[in-house]
Parts: sequence; structure tokens; C-alpha cells
Amino acid sequence: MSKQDDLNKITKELRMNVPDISGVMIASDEGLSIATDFAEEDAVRVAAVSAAASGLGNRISQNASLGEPEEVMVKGRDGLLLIYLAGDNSVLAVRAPSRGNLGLVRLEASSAAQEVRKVLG
Amino acid sequence: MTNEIIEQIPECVRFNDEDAQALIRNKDVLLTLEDGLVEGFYNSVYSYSVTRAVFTDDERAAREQTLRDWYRRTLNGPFDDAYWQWQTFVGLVHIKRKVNNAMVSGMWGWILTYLSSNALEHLEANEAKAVIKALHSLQAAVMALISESYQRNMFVAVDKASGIKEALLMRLVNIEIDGMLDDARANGTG
Repeated sequence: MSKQDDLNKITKELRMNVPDISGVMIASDEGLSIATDFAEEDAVRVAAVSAAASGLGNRISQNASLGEPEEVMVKGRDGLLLIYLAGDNSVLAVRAPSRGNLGLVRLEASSAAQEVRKVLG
Repeated sequence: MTNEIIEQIPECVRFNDEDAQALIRNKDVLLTLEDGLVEGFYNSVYSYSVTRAVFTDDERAAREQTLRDWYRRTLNGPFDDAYWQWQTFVGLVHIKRKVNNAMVSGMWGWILTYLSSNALEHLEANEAKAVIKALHSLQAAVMALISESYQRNMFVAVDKASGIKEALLMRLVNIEIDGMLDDARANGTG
């Protein structure tokens, strides 16, 4: 099984485990989409801004003495995007409704980020 | 960074030892142009509100001295790593002082015009030609270093401040540029 297959599997399992999630993005820290089920027309931008948000979150954590960054959350009226570091050079982003089971989304997404880390290092 | 930038200039048009020798060989004549160069340069800069706004009221003498130092150092050589690294550093200073590349390019044009016309007047034709060629190659190299270091140092500063690396920033920029190009083409301007 290739790394790409492993990442696609993580993406699918996350969606199956948490039906509330409406999009999963695994992107490089340079903003390139690696594995995703976001619509093609959205994927390019979501990958880039997820990587950017992760970088910015990291800097905020450093400058505000928050410790190792665990999660960046952007909450809008219609949903939220949670972004996790998933290895040294990649991020995992998930889109979920703002009124869903946020606890479960966080738990599963964080776990999926660890799986991605194992695959990508 | 300095060498990386210089190496982007085609070797056949890059400032070379022949150019350096042309300037150094004629430095006695060129040094007599220093007062006019400095005065004319800052008269131009101070006479225009946009470039005038870069400076405080009390710093003209200091800025003039900086230009004098650069001119003397240039004519005396050597054109070593330290010289080119100094030009790269200028790009960093320009970010801080809000001296943009349009201002630098415009004033380089003035320097070339002033020195070229005086070279033609005061030097034998072949020497004038060699000096003018050297000045143009120098201008190209210095502008490359200042403008590229301006941009690259911007990227470094953005990375340090926001955690967004150059490759990611360029990706974000390119995504938007693609949209802008599409808009321009749709509007018949591209």
C-alpha cells in the first residue's frame, strides 16, 4: 500500500467515523493538497489557507507563550475549520458544521492527524 | 542571497572586471563629479513630495554623506563580496525607510544620465564609452540586488512574523494572480 493509499484511507475513515465532517484536507506546509475529499474547485485554496493558518497559529502559540500548538480553529456562521499539525511538513484540516458534535470531531480529527504523522513522518 | 541574485543575471551582461577597471582607471575624473552628483541627486529627491516624504527635515547632510561614501567606495573598488553584500543590505534598509523600487530605479536613471553626459564631456570617447557601459552594468547589478533583496527580505520577515514560508506565500500569491489574469483576459486587458 502506498503512502497515498494510506492517506486516502485516513481521509475516508475520518469521514465514516464522523458523519458531521463535510471535508478533509491533508496538505503540505507549502499549501499543496496531498489527499482530500474537498471539491476540486475548493481544494487548491483550502490547502493553501490551511497551511497558512497552521503557520500563523504556530507563531501565535510561540509569541503568546501557549506552548506546542495543537489546533487552529476558524469558526464561521455556517461551519468551522479545524487545522492540526500532521507531521513536520503537513497539516490536516477538517470542515464541520458549527452545531455538530465538536467533541467527537476534535477527538477523531486529532487522532487522524497522528495517523497522518505516522505515514508522512 | 547576494551571490544567488547576481547569478540570475546572464553572465555575458554581468558587471565584470573590465567594467571595474574602466571605473577605477577613470576615477580621478569621475570623482570631480561627486559634488554635482550628490547635490543633483538630493535636489531631485527633495523636490518631489513623494520622495521627499521618505526623509526627515534634519537628515539631508547624513544622506548626502552616505551617497558620497558609496560613490567613493565604488570608484576606488574593489568590487568584492563585501561590496555586493553592502548593496544587498541596502534593500533591507529600504524596506525600513519605505524607499520603494520605483524610487530607486528612477534615481538610478538620474545617476546614469548625469554621469554619462559628464563622461562624454570630460573623457576621451573610448574611455567614456567604457565608463558608460560599466555604469549600466553596475546599475543593473545594484538594482537587481536592491530590488531582489527587498522582496526576499520581505518574504523572510513575513515568515518570521506569521510562520508563512516563502513557498507557501508564493503559492497563495500565484492562486490570486491566476484569478487576476483570468479577470484581465475576460476584460480584454490581458
